Amino acid sequence: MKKIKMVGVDETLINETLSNGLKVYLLPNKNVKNFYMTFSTKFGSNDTEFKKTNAKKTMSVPNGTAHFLEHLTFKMKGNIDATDYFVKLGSDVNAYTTFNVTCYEVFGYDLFKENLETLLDFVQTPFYTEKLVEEEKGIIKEEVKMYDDDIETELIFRLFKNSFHKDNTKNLVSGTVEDVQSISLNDLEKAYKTFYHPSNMYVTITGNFNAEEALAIIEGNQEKKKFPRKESVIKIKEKEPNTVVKEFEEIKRDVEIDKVNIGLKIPYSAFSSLKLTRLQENVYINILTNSMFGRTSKIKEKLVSGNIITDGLYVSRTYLENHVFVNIIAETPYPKRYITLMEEAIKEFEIEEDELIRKKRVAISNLIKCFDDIEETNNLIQSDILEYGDINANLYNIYNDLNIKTAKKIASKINTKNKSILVVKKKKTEKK
Amino acid sequence: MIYKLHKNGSYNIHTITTDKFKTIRMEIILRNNFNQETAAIRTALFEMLTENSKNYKSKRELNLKEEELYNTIIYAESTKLGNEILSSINLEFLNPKYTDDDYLNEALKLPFDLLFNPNIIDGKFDDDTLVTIKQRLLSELASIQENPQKKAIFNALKIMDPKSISSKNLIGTEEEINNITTTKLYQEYLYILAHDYIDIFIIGDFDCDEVINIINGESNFRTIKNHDVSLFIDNRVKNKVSKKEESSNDYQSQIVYIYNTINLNENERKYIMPIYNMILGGGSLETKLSKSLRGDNSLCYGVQSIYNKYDNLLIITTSVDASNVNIAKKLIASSVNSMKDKVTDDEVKHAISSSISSINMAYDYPNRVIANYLFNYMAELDPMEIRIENYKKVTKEEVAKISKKIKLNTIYVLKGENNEEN
Repeated sequence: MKKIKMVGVDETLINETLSNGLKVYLLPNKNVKNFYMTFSTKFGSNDTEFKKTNAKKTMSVPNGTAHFLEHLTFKMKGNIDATDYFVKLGSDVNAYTTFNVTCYEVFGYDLFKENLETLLDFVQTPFYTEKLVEEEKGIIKEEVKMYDDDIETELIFRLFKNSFHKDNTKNLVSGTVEDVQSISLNDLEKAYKTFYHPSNMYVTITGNFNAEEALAIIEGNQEKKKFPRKESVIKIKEKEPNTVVKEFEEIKRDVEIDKVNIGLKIPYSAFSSLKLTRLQENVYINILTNSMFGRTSKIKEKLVSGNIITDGLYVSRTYLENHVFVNIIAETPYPKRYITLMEEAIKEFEIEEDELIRKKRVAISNLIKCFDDIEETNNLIQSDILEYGDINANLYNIYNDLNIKTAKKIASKINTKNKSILVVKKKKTEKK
Repeated sequence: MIYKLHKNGSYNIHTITTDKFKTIRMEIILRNNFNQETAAIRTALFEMLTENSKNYKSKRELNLKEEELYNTIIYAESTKLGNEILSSINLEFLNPKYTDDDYLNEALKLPFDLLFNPNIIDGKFDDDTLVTIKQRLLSELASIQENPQKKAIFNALKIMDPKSISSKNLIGTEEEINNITTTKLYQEYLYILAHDYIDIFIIGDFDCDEVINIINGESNFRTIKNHDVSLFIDNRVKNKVSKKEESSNDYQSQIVYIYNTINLNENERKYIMPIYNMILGGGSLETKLSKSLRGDNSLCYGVQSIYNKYDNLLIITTSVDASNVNIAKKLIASSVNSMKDKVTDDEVKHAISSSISSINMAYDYPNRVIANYLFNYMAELDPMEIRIENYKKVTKEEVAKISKKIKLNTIYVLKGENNEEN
């Protein structure tokens, strides 16, 4: 059992890898009343082509398989939904799928052992039938249609589609209605056997619990189960070019006010001469993009005071293997003028020392605040595992060590030529 | 967690000291009866107050100060709760042990500076700022129309009763927003300071005396209020159910059912009806509605019931394919009907357990702890421990009995395109 002191935040994380390969991350917090436990597999919507290390044949599954599997995992023998068990335990169970992970989560305050064992058991006891698969298709198709009616989802995923040639990030996590229809029992079983082996999974628990006891419960539970031999999985990805697919698109939808999403596709290769870790690169990019487009940015003030945008600029980042993709979403009555002003602003990234000092404070404060919330703490641990392969206990010092010289170098190397712009304009339609 | 109420005549300070959190949260809450004529002005006013001030000339200047103060967050929030309107200026900042010496003092002063040094010249607020705020509110209003479910609920409440406060929104109509002037904002500002009930809640790890001294030093509330504020809305019960179907260009169809809850006593309102709601459609996949529409018939991704205690309403919503609207309506009706005599002991037990779980979750979030003490103070919500004990006493018979006090008022369908057939 490894104890990892999280620098600067008065927290200690416990880490253990079991003999079957399952990794366990525990961060107890006696101040709170509840616990939040997650059981995750490194299998997300992007993983549609893969092979076992020693296998000759490549396997593939349709888009949306990871998400479909997430739904189906809740189905148990005897027409029982795993939710039933947790309702009886007085806890909340849910799950989500992203580009690179499927995560099953339980939020509770009592019966820790029962909750933990039930979480491990239902995820590790697959029960799939043709009938269940067909029944679930109806539910998932309605979920997809719900996203189709959601303008924010369209703003983001259509821009992804216009920005990525090969990377599966261009596809909806849930797949389309047609993808869902095409998924078979065989696809789901193949995916489960490949990605739900303990060696590809990890448990993360935060909140009020005893770490020693949690580890004993997990060990005891796993020892009772038999798993096939560990086999590494190779996820097959085609090389993604630095260019975007489509630089500009305008679509018409039932919106009241026009919206614009600008995506910057930034290759990490631009920073390779600086010899930074991927984490350091990301921290600098986050600070620079916040500085350029965040709430204290000059461009935001100019756009709001000029009544070009209705509120703020919403900046988010998606970290991929070779690129970081920065999204800037705004609502604007004047999309043309907005794009002109933004194109001017993004030509040159820059930052001054006083700004960096302030942004360091913001980053440190956000890191400390994160540990007030057991869900956010859990997410922070998971994002470290998924993005960097291990826990970054030293994040506090990384923030403190940020320096203006490197920040300026990163800024000068950010290439914003590869960008895609999506405009959603109001459609003038007659109500039927 | 130690709660203390400090009465100061024109305002109250509620301190909740605890070392649970690494942050401190303060909410300055001003509340009064909801008034449709001034609702939009009031909402705009609180946006104006947190946009800039005499000392922070622009939102950017204010945001720069917040970032200097270790990303202190300050924002306005407006809520309509039954017949009341609550407006607050909220502050969240780090425990000073992680920061510089004078941090607590500086952070705490910031919201009072915004409240008492607004950007007012010659009896009016700043014109340019108002243009920005109006644009923001119009965008918020538009966002209701862009969200099929919100739009459907909004439309359904209007059909239920366009005059009811339950069908009004905080930001008013497009016309009301456009009619706001900087002079009207100033009049509303003076009115609120003179007529609103004011409560300041603060939670975190701090020295109570020090914090109270700072707050008292900064607070400039002068008027003692003693008028009535009433929380509950009695929505009119109808003999004939209102039914309306409209078309949209959305992919899915939205279905909304609105029920009145009639003559509930205090125990029913506080405990039995929330358990009834939890069993019918309170969020999990195990509710009667979810089992029927999603589990057994694969018609939808989500279906839920919402109990608006202060409005005396129960609202059911779901999104389905247009070809499935009729069957979904039948299943909603039969699920509600099954509450009369098909509730099991296990369902009651699990609903109680979920309700207790929800109360326990609230303990770990500063804003939810404040909300509990606020409702305890203004809306007679029992303390968390008593609520847990009272939930445990709810029986299957009580749930069945309350079914008779629920009456259908409105059925609304916002019909989308028929995807399955197209």
